[in-house]
Amino acid sequence: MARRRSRTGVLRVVAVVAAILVALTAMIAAPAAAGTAAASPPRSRFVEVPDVPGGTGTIRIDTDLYLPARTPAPAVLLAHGFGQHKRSLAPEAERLQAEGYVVLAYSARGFGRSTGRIGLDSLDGEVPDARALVDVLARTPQVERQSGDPVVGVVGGSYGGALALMLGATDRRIDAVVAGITWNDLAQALDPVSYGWIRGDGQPQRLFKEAWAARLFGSGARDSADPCSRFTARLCALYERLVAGGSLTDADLALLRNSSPSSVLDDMTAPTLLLQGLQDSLFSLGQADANRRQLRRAGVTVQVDWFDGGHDGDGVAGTERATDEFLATTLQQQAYPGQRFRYAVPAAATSFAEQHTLSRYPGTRGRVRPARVPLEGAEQTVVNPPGGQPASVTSLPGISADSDVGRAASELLAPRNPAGQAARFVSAPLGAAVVLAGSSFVRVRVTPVTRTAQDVVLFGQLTARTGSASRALPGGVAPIRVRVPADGATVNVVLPSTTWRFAQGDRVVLTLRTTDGQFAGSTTPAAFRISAASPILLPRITTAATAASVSAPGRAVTDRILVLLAIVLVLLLAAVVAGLVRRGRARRAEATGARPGDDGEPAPPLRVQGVRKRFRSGFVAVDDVSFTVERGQVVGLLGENGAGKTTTMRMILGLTRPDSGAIEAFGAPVAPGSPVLRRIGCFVEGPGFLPHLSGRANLRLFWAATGRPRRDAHLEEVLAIADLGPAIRRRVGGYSQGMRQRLAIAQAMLGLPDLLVLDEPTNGLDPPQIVALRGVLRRYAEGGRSVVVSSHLLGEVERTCTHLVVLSHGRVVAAGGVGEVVGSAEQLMLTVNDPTGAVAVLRRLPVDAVELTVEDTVRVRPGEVRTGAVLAALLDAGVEVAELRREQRLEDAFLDLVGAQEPAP
Amino acid sequence: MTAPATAWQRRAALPLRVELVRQLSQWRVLAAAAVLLALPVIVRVAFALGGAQPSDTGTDLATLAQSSGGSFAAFVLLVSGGYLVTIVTAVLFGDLIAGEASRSTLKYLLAIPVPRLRLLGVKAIAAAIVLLAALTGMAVVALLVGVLSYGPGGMQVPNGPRLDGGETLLRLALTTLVTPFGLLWAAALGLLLSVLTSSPLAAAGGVVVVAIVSTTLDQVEALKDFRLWLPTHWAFSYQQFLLQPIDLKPVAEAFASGLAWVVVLGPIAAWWFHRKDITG
Repeated sequence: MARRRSRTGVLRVVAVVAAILVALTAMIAAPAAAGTAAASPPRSRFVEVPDVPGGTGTIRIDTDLYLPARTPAPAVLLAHGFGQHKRSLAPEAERLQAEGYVVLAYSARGFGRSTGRIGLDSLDGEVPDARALVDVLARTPQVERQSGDPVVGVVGGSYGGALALMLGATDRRIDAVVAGITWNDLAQALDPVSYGWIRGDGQPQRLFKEAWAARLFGSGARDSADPCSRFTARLCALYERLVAGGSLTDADLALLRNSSPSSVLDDMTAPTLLLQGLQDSLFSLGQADANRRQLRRAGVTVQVDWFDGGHDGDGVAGTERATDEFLATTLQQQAYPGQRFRYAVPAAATSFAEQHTLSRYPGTRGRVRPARVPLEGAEQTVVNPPGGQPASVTSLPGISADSDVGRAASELLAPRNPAGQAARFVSAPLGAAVVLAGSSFVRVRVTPVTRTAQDVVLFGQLTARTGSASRALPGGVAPIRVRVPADGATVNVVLPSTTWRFAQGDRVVLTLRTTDGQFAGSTTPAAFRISAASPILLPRITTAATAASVSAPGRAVTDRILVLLAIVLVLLLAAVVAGLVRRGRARRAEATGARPGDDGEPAPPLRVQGVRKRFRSGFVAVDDVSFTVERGQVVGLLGENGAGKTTTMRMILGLTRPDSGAIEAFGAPVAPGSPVLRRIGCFVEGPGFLPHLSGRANLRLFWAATGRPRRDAHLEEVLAIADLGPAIRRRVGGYSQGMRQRLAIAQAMLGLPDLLVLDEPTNGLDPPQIVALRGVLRRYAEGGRSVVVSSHLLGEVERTCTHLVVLSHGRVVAAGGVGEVVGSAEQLMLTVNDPTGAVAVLRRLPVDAVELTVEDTVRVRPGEVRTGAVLAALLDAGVEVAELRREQRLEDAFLDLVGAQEPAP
Repeated sequence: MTAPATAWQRRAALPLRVELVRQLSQWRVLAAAAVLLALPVIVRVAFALGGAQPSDTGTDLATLAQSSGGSFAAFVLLVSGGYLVTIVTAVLFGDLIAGEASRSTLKYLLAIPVPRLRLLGVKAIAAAIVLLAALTGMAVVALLVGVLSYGPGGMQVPNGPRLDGGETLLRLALTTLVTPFGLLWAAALGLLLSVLTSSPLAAAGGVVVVAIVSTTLDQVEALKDFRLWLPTHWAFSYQQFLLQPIDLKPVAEAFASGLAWVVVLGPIAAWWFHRKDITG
């Protein structure tokens, strides 16, 4: 029985789990189908655009259009990096497509299959091309529109980044710009102005970043016999002049300005995300700083990310999340993105990589007082070799100094750098950790050895030294070109912006070299003395309290939480109110029942009326059962196994609800949780204890669970009844069946309840304990309390109970005092000298039955006839009675009763 | 003999304190809580045996964990947050009614009488207290073990800043506080299954099965927004406080999602238990 129940319980669990899983899987079908449909391939198409603005000639721009699953959607124009084409953008385009954007990727003029010549993002070439592509998007029906304008963002890295900025600044239809690792001023990027200067000096000089420039022009000239064929003629001429050692003319600068965001950014209206890499010797953090300054002047929102990547790292890899979040805010939610600055600090010898987020961009000069680190080292003499060769190698373009390859390369190359060409100034070990973020500043004294005014070219670099290991800081070198007078000068040097964590004990090393492989240096041989003229200033940014969320939960979520909390509150209130109402009603009923009725008698402890219980299986366990228990009675519920005794008791205790009929205890109706159950103690269907606690602890805890005062428990009296001896202090898990049984009966008696309900209490007890229990129950009832005991043992019930209710197949077949029920089963065994005569005599009496058993013995069931009358009749008839035995054959009677009720098969 | 209504009759049966003692006497409950408390020690021993040395560039979490006491504590909270706390929750809440039924003590509690909804409520609150205490204990033990082993430094956020001591404590506390958001669904489902069966292990197992299937489905990107409905979708939102920057959005979503499951499953459990015939 128990096993069957637990199995259905497990089935129920399986059913619920399965239901949840089915519900979850049901959600899959539709989106799974939609998901496969979403990844539709791009549509390729050439767009004709004018070769020059206002001109009649056209070129063809090769485009790919990616459509998302759901349209209309905001659009993103994707611009590629130098040397790439539209197919290089496929992974990013597909990611954005999956994020729900219409994506237009294209090959810029001169790249891939697009025709035309490369103008380096010229305002007269690439930028109008991009505007023409925005026209295409504006005509594309799948693109979302806001008051007639298409919702368009432009995203690009490096070459595409500048394009994005310039398009955003020249086309009002652009709603968001994401520009990665790009330039502000192309002249400054390729031919930077000196990072060092002498106070009072005139025009700053420039240094040509030869290695990078050569790489760029080289990749543009690929697949062509003419080394310059893909570039515009003017750019070609400019490059050739620079390579030959010339300097930029005003016309050159104007040409490069035409290819620089710096010339148009003041007109920007779209919010912009600037992603600039730390590992970038081509476009430094300073370029993003300049872009940001102009954009703020234009009054637009700018977010700046200094991430650990760039042209010497993995390009814009790692910025996808920042890009997606920015586009989601600006294009999908069409919300206002807040100002934000995020900077990475790369891993160092003794520290892990870090990332900090601030709500405000502090600039490259830091936000708090810089760390002042004095530099040691005597005056040193450096020489510039004739022709500037061999040049020092401080980094390899395109290879991060932080990567394994970069580190191996610099470790191999650094010792081979010409020794006489470098002056090195080393700080004392740092007393505390310093997180550098921005451009460091230092003054050095430079004096020509020849004591004649000289052009001095130097390359400054910062290195962190941890123990014997040195690590160059990312961000490249600071090129310096100054005219030093004969008696020398103090040169102010700003080092490239970067971030670094110096641990306590690290040394800061400033190296000044006369040559650098990346730059076209001075070809004139020279020698000068250098000394440090100031401590080095390391800019810092203290991070504000960091436990602040980057975004607040939206109204939708907070509203949902409030609604759900309200529902929880309402449910709780409903439960509490319902409970109070029910308990109040039950208590009133109990109070009414406790009052004497019309006849002056208080309500009986238990009245069961017409109770019926049918289980879900269809089995009728109890059918129309009625009986009453009065005060002082010990009532036996007698019946075979399955007769309905236990089910009846469960209903009395409110564990099971009857289908019909009523149960009242002390005048109050009994239902699950009725307060009147307090007055009933019970033991049903076996004991139940916490197995890891002792018997005593179990009873204490059980009483504590009633919430009633400890003194009302009568614990010691009850424990005496259980009679467990020292075992009462052992854990229940080790008890025998009989011991648990006695402990359970004791638990039922805790608090001496007015009605005790015991189900088969003698099961598992040995005969002396059974005898003792009989006495206990009788005495218990003597004080006016009542006991209901169930049993299938007739002898047991007969000796214990004052009253009997006999159940069979769920019905009451007999009820009344033990005498009444048992009396009908009384019989006399008469040993007589004339059995036949005796039978004849007795048949004339109104006895229930007379029969001849063996030889001289007659069995009489006297019924209403008294024994004396039976004897008198026999004596009158002259029958001699040798022996008279009175027998109570309850078993027979019981079987008779049960047999009479045997249902038809 | 007629027992007029006195003060004690109005006092509620099954005080919370008693239910806590009852639950804590169960080895299953103690074992579940002990697993959480022992986890930091186990992780520390694993590090000792694994012999992982803090490397100079390593950014993997295990290396990071050994950089300071605060980082170690954060790591322990991070790794415990997946299945482990879900299983503990499943055991604690799956045991509530099914455990009583399997020990045959349920009927005696109900006959005291403890009203059924009160029984369910008190038990759920007691289990929640045990769970919160175990989670808090785990964080405290993790911090102690971490500080003793790796010094009192603040936590290093993976790919983020190194936090000072006060900030670290605040982060750990917030993480511990928010972890239960992602467990609300498991508690509600455990309670429901506990009401439906008399086998506490079946109830706990059911929760774990749903957790596994839900986590698996959550990895199917093609399901898109429908994954938001999965009970475990926001299970890792507590990690927000171990990251930089913090984003409260997923934390709020986790709370909303957990509450939704409670609002759906809780009343079903209560209704079923209220009308259930108690047998066995």
